[in-house]
Amino acid sequence: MAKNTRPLSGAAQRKFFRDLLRSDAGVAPDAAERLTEICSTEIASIRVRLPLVVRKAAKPAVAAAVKAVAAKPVADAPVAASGTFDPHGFSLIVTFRKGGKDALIAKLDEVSDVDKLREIAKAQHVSLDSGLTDRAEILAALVEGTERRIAHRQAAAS
Amino acid sequence: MAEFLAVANRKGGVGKSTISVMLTHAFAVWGGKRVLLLDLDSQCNASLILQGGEGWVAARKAHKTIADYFLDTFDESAGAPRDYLVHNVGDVRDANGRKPTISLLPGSLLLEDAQGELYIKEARQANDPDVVGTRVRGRLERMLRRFEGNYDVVILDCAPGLSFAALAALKTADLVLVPFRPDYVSQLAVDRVALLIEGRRTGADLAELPLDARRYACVANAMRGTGREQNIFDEIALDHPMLDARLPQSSAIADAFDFRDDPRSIEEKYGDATGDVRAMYEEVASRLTLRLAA
Repeated sequence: MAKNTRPLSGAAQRKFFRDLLRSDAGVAPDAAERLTEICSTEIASIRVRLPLVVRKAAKPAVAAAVKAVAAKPVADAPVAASGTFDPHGFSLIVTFRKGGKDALIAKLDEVSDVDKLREIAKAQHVSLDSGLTDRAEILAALVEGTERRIAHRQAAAS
Repeated sequence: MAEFLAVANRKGGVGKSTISVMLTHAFAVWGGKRVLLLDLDSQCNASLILQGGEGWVAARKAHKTIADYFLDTFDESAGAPRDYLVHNVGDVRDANGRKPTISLLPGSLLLEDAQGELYIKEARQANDPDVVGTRVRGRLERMLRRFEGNYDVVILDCAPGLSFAALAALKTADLVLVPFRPDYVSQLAVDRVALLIEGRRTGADLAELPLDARRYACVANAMRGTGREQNIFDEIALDHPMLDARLPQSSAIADAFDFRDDPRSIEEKYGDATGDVRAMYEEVASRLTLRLAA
């Protein structure tokens, strides 16, 4: 058995739970976080089958969350400092990794201007399809692009 | 017993040698310590900065280089470590106008060849390449440790890449300082060297080790103060311990590494960047003390 499985604990176990729960479209992002916390607290270690499946968060959940935020009226809360918009005013990756998708979506939602969202994408090296015009779609693409950048970095260190 | 500080990154051009020299000067002048720098990089930049081109050539002619030391004393049958050192190097003086206690084991262009020879020598005793590699690295570790009795701080300026000497230095070090430039590739290089230092296989494994328990700390070099750089700094800081001090891109720092025959004060040497150098030194000294106390 040992050859086909691997023990996980601590941060690796937490990441496994989070990825697993987020990959299910039927589990809302906040519920996935809550369940991750509960499982991580209650379960000391687990043994998973190899090879480990690389899971991506379910798109419907992201899109739904983005749609929900984008549907709200947007207060014009610019990332700008002293009148000049700074596309590096916050890091997409840091915001995502510290607070998850919801935090990133909420932060991006402070930027009302679609062109400024495109500026953020360009400055922080997130690919955006130039054909996207809908704000909700752009927000979703930014979130997914951020996830891809994180995945690239993790893969590079493997 | 000396404290061992390695300055390492598998990526080149991030400032390993210049930071090694800065800290050598700082520990000697501001800390009043007896400092030895071991130049483990065949580019030999730290040696050239500390003793100038002529001094380095003289050291090579006298067979006082890291390659000579490794080759001559590998089997522990000949040579004393002190015979390979050059003393009173550097072009700074202390507050009393005297040259501080800085010694150097100069670098060698032949270091890679020497390590190859040592590998072949050891391979005569064993067939398994892993066993041979482990033995060579272990022997080099012991050779680096031989200097601990006569110095307060030993600084190991590592080559980029994964030479036996660099691996031995990472094993030996009480603290590893990882300089990086705020760009995408450097970020990936920090991730990789961190795995190596902590002996972890994946980022997930490394994440299990709290940041304050790590044996290394990263320092940002050549910062220009752009938002992009700050973003990269923040992204690296999510996963790695970081010094608060950071070194700016500065002509004062660039100029400081032009060796001069007339020693000057450390403040004159580093000019406008003196405060940044001092801040880095104080943090490194504090982290070394904390690690050794732990």
